[in-house]
Amino acid sequence: MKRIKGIERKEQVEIIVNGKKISAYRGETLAAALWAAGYKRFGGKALKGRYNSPFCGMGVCFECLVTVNGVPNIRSCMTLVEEGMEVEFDDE
Amino acid sequence: MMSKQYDVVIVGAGVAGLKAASVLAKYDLKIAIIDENPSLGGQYLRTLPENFKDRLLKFKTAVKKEGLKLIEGLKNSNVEIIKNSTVIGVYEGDKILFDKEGRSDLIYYKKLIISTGVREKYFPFLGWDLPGVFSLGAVQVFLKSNGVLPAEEIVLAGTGPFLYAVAYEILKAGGKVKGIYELKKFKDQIVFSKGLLNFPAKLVEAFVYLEEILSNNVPIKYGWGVLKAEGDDSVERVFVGKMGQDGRVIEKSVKSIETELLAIGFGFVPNLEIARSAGINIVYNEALGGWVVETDDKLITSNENIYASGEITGVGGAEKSQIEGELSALVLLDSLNLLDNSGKSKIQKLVKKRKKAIKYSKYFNTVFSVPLEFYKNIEDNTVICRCENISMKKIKEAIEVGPSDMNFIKTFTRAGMGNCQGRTCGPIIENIIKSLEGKTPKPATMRKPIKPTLIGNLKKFYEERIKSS
Repeated sequence: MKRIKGIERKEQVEIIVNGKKISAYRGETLAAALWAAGYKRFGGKALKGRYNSPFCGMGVCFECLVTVNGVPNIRSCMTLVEEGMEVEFDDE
Repeated sequence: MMSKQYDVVIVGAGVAGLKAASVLAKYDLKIAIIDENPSLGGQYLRTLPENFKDRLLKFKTAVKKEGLKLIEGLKNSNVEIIKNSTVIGVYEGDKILFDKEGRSDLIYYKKLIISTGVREKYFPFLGWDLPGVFSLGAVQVFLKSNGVLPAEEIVLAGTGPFLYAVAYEILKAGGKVKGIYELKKFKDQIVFSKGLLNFPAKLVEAFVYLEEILSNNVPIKYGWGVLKAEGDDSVERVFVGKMGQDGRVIEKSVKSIETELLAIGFGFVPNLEIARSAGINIVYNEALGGWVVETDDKLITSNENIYASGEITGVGGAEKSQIEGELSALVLLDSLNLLDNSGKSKIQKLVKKRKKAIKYSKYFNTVFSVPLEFYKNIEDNTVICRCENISMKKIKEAIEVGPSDMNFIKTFTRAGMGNCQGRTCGPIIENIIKSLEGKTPKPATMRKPIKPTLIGNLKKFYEERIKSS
C-alpha cells in the first residue's frame, strides 16, 4: 500500500471514480487519493499520445485535471476529497 | 460574499507571507492573506492534515518550527485567511480577482505584499512527460501533506540540495531511494560550502539529511543525468549515465534502473505572474535565479504601494523568505507612520541580514544551475511544452526562422499556450534561446486571467453584483 504506515488516519470517506467506489481519508487531496488507489492515467492520450498524470503536485502544471461533480478541468492536486465526490476522467 | 476593502492584502501564505501577516497582525489594520492551497504554509511548511496523527519523527529547522507556530497564531488573529483561492489577476492598482471553490470574487487593497514563492525548474529528457515522472516537490507534497508514499522505490535526479531533502523524507516514510543522480560534478559543488558558511543552520540540515542517506546505502552519483524514462503508458525503467561536456549522456556509461517513479528537480524559478499582472517591474539576475521582481533594499517595488517578499525577489530559501516577510511588513508599517524607533532600527538590522542571505542565494543559484550549453543539445524529439506536446525540434525551427522572442515562439509553435500558460516550458525555452543565441529573451507577455478559470464562475459573480447594485 502506498499510504505511509504509522500515521493514524481518521474519517474515512468514499468517493466515486468513473462509477467505482474507492475509499480515501478526509484531508487528502484528490490527486493523492487517486494515486494511492492505483490511478496513474488522467486522460489526454487521444490528444497527445500519452496520458496526463500528476507532475508538479502543487497546482502549476495542470496535468492532473479531472471532472469533479460534473465540473470539468479541476486540478485534483488542489482539491480535497469529500464524501460522495463524483470524479471522472478518461483512463482507457 | 460581498467584495471587501482591506488596508493590506498579502498574496501567498508561505514562509514570507505568514511572517509579514504575523507582524502586521499586531496593529489596528484590516488585513487579508490569500492563498491557492487548501492549507496555510506554502511549500516549505507542509504538514499532514489536522485529523491525521503523525507518529513519524521529523527533523524540523528553526524556520520551520517558527513558521508552524505562526500558522497557529494567525488562526486566532484578526487577519482574514482566504484559502483555496486562485488569483486571476491584480487590476487597476487596487483590486484582486480570484476564484474560490467554484466562484469568482474581488477584494480591494490599499497596500499589497506579494510573496508567491517559487516553482520547480526542469531540464527535459525523453519520456519526462510520462506518468510516473514527478517533480521532487510533488513527492514531498504527497508525503508531507497526504501521508502517501508515491512508490515503494524511487529514483531521484536533477541538481541541488533539494534532492537530499526529498531523499531523506522518502527514507523516513519507509520508502527506498534507488539512487540520487546529481547533474553537477562534485568538484563544481565545493564552492557551495562557502555559501553554507553564511547559514550554519543550513549546514546542520545538510548533515541530518546526509546521515540518513549514507546510512541507508543510497547510491549517489555526481555529474550524472537521465537519458530517458521508458514504459508502456507509465514509467517502468529509467536510463541514467554520466553527463558529457555538451550535456548529452555518454552512451557507454548508461545503465538501466527498474522503477515506477522518477522524481526530478533542477532548481527553482520565481512565480512572477501575480506581480506581473499588477504591472510591477521585473529584472533579470542570474545569481538571484533569473527573472525576479525589482525592488530596492527595503523590498519596495516599482509601485510604491506594492512590496515583494521571499523567493520572488531572489531564490534563496526559507531563511531569506522569513527575513523578507518581516522586513516588508515593517517597511509597510513605516510608510503608514506606525513604527516607533525600535521598529525603525529593526528595519536597518533586517536590511543587513538580508544582504547575508542574498550571498547564500548567489552560491545556490550559480553552483546548482544546469550549464547553459546543455540546453542547445536537447534531443530533437524531446517534449519541451508538455501541455501542447511541442518538441525541441519545433522550438529550434522557430528560433531559426524568427526573432528570439518568447512571444514569437509561443505564436509560432503554441509552446506556452496550454493550461499551465508556459509556467513549465517558459524557463526551459528561455534557456534554449540563451544557449543558442547568447541573449536572454524577455518572458512572454502576461495576460489575464493568469490561471485558467471557468467563464461560468465570472458570469455568476457579475450577475450577482449587478443584481445587488
